[in-house]
Amino acid sequence: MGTIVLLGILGLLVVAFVVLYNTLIRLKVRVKNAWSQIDVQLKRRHDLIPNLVETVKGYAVHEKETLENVTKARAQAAGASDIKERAQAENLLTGALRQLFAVVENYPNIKANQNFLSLQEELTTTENKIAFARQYYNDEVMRFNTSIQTVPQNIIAQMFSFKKSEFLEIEDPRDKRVPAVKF
Amino acid sequence: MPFSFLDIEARKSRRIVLLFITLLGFYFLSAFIIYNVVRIGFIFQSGFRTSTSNAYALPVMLKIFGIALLVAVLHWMYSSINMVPRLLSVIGAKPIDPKDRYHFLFNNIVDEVSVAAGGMRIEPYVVPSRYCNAFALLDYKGNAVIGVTEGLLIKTNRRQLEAVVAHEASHLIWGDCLLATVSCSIAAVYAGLLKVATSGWYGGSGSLYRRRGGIYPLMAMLVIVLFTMRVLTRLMNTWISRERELRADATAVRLTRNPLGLAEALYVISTGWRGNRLPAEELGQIFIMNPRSSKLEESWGFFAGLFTTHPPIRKRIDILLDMGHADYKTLESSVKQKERKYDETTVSTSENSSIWYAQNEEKWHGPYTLFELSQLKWLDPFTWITMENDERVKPAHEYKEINKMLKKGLSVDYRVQACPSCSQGLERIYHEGVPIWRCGSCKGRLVRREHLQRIIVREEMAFSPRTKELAGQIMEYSIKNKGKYIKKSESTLKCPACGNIMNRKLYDAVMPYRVEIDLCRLCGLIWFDRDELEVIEYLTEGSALDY
Repeated sequence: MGTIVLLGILGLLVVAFVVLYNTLIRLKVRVKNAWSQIDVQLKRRHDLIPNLVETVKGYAVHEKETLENVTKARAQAAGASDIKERAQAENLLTGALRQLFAVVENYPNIKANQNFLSLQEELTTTENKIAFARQYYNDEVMRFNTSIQTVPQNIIAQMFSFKKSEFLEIEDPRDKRVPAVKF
Repeated sequence: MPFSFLDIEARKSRRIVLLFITLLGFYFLSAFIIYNVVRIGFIFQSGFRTSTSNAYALPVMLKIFGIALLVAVLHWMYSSINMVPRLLSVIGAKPIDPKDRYHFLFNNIVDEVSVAAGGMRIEPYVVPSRYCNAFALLDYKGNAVIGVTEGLLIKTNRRQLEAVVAHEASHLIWGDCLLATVSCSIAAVYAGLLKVATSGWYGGSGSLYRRRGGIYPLMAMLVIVLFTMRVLTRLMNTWISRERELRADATAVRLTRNPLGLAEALYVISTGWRGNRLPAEELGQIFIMNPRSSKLEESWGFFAGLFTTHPPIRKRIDILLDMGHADYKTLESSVKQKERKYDETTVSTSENSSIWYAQNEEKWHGPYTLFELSQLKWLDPFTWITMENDERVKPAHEYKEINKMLKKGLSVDYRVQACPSCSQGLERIYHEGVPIWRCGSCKGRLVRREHLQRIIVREEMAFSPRTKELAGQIMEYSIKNKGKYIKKSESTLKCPACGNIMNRKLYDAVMPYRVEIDLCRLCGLIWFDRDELEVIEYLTEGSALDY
């Protein structure tokens, strides 16, 4: 009798273990997937920049430095190796782009250029997508981190050394605003 | 809340089973009532002579249940086939036109929200109408559609529109949208049948029922049955809780972190025309705000909760304002009318640029535009083609545009050549966000017929005194002649795309005044002489007729 109860408890434990382990793995995969979402959008932004620089160059002859900053920041972001460095470089690029768009305000000719307008819209939507993807990533990280620290998952997390994922912090306080775009 | 679309599958199927059981129960009840009515009728007719069998006997009940099950399954199957496309056509929604500036923006916003929700394919649709509303549809396979009206596109700014799209996406995330879609689809069957039946009813002298006098009472009964059915299916709305709208509002705020944008958007929709008197009115539960405004819906209580699908608007706005730490007064003042300005920017397109080179008998020819290329007699799918600034040489069929041209012929966009009245080249411009053609010398405009509705609905343009004066003259003329109009002459203009003579028509679709226009039926192109397009826009905006 005693052995049957013992076996029953053991069986339950195994089932619980399997369920918990699988949940953790699922959450981990989601974090990874959320990160790749950000990656897609960042890549899209990188692809847009040469076009933008080319278009603005023709009009804003005196803004060589601003344009160079953008190109440099892009190269730096593309060459970054780990998440932290990458995030820093991308933040730099965001700042450089913002400066570029501020400078462009002084050139009414560019703003009449349909090519520039559609590029600007493309960049706005990509920036928004980056922000949203980052938000989604942080949500998933929060879920995963909470999960591996709470009982009973924390036991399994420690056994298989699941590590906490890093949040993507925003350094520039201006970034916290929703990008406002006027029609 | 479920964190992604993956979480909702299980919950969805449970809800759908519940809906089917409701449908079955409803048919069982109807069949039972009909059976009893008929039975009592027989008893009356036969003068109480026949023995009255027990209506509650098990075999009778089983038979009724069998019939109810059959009808319910048939109804269910019919409404499940092509559910989303059928509802889209009831609403009159169309896929977006990526060349249109407003539609392009809307498409971007849908993509952004989809990223915020963890990625899901959402098809954007637009209803070409002036009313303000938005809806979401979802079917069993997970095909998701978010639609907005042109009215909403022109009345909201980017962040407001984003909030609305996020609200609709929240319905998709929670999956309650599927329930609404299915119940709409079920109700739409009866609404449609009833419309057919009653249109014959009021159809005048040639009506179906009056010609064959004998069927009259039968038809009357059919209409009554259908009407009861429709009322009963409306009761199915009781399954749709009004709290789901509040939940979607909250989720939308979670997605966009922007409660005030949604509050402003709700304010804009509630103060505009929401679309009552339209066929879509029947499908109230899928919209962000019920097209039919009613006293019941604006109240809060047990009965209101039971029979309505949306919470009171003021309550929704107040909750959002609380989240954003703002009050109603600031909301009213912050929603401003959009500034009107006349702005026609040129479209930079590859449509008419000469960038193509083609090889014939070992020699390169060109540069050609796509139109000129289509005129070459020796061009076939294996002709070697190259583009400007591109070293690669490929056979013609490997280029997407050329392959399409060889298979189906060129689309109208590429075939349009010179101005029909002065033979100058036409330039492509954005007029109210829609790409049209303009003649630089005579200022005439060429518009595709299917784009005209969109241009008329939009209110971006400010009118010049000249337009107002011309419109005034047309109004005066119309009043003097009591609305009659004598056609002056036949058109002599040739269609800029196919070269055939155009038809002179009177444009009177949505206004009581007439303006002459030239139309090519084959290509669907309309030519407006100078000022005609603006005058039509001015007259329609001032007219009370809507669509």
